[in-house]
Amino acid sequence: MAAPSNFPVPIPDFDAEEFWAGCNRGELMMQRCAECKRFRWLPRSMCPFCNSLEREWIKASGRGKVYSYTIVTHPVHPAAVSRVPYNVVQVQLQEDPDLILVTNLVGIANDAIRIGMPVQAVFEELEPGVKLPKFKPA
Amino acid sequence: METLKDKAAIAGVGNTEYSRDSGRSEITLAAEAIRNAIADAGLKPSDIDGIAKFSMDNNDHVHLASNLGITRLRFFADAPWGGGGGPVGTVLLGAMAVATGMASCVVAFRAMNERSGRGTNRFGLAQVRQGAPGARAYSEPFGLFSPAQAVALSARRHMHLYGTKSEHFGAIAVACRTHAQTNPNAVMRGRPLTIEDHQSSRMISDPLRLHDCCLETDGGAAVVITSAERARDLKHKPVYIMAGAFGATDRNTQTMIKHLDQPQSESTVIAQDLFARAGVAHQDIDVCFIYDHFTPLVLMAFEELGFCRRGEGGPFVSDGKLLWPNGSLPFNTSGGNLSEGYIHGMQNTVEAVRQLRGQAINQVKDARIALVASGNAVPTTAMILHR
Ligand SMILES: [Zn+2]
Repeated sequence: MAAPSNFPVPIPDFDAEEFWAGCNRGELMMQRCAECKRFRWLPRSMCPFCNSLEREWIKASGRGKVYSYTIVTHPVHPAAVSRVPYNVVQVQLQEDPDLILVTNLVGIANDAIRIGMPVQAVFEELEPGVKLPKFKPA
Repeated sequence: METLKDKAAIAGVGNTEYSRDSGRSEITLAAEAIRNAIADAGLKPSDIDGIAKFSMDNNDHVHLASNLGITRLRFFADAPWGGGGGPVGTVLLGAMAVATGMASCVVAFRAMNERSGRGTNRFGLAQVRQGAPGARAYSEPFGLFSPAQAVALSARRHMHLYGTKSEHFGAIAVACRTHAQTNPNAVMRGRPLTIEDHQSSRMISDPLRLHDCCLETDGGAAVVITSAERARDLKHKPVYIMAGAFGATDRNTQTMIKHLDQPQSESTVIAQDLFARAGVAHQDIDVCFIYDHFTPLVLMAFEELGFCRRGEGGPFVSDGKLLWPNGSLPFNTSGGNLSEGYIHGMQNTVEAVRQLRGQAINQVKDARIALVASGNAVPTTAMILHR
């Protein structure tokens, strides 16, 4: 296999197809229990709070704040070589403190990133037909 | 309730050389480390009837049996979660097997060519795949691949919550490197490290620097577990398994990412059981071995295991208490994953036994009780040993 020029695309699993489909539409769809209405992340098959198998997908506001971040300087993947330094950020969504996504911040210099700063979801193409949820300063 | 306390003991320890390129196969390393541990116990391979391995280890039970001449294998088991389950979980599986009569003598081991790549892919490099399945779908597309990068996120959060500094992480690296200087088998012997060296080392994934990350090593390490009764008739004074514990939470689905705002972690689950089962307190521990994959996780393990309060790990590790010979809690006295060799923590288990036998190079005076903890930030295991 030739060295890939991009990071790997997500392979949506059965319980998360709507999350990735939402990203491709430009919507941040979060999984919620249809019985007790509590959110969960990562997507999964059963509600850990009430054990219901019924789930619903809620369009989140896309608003959140930076929970933590790192600036990657040492590339460990072929596609990272031309990208370092790049940021990897955890964003905590305003809907529920348990919703903490690993993502990237765009539209900001790496040295301006701070924990607690408000951010807003944007959707960026990784490959044609595959969009990822990223965030920009709000 | 009946417990495991003092029913089993470690009777033998063995290892290979630790290097950047063994030039040998992984089964050669495993067989040699195990052969050395069996001989150290004063046993013969035909006495061994159980093998407990890391699930990640490429050497399977029956190929090892066919090399060692173990003709009657009555117990075989795998401990999952790499450095979390492995370096203690394998020993506890062996202890449970001998305590219940499932086997009489069990070897627990780890052997790999993790640095040279002769059989095992380097853990610090991304596996290049067409796509990211499972939980990796939520990290790899964003460029989060390596354990170091994930740990950097938790390290930054800890710094934010508690004012922890990079120099606090450095104190752990310096302690391990200092201990390695007298260890002839340490990969980093002859390369001492100061806090200034740590602070000027290159950034891997900010705030993690090069010297916050463990080595990558080729080698093997093994121990022999048998019943306390049988151990008393063998070559060395037994090192008793006083207590053990396994721990994980439902937050461990993205490996190596901790949830510091949660009161419970894999290591707090362990702490709740371990000391009660052993019947000892933290101040009774004479020497401790905390799995040192990344310095921030060692600091967090001290907190979560209850050696200090949450958030106080920085000052706790930085006041000299971890340094042999004068510190009150000597830690990873042969150099650990950070400076002796990265045998996935199994080298720490071997060193703990040598300390309690009085055979260690950096011998802790009158060491009677040792704590050995496997890797934090994944489902993990820990035990308390005594002589
Ligand atoms: Zn529910």
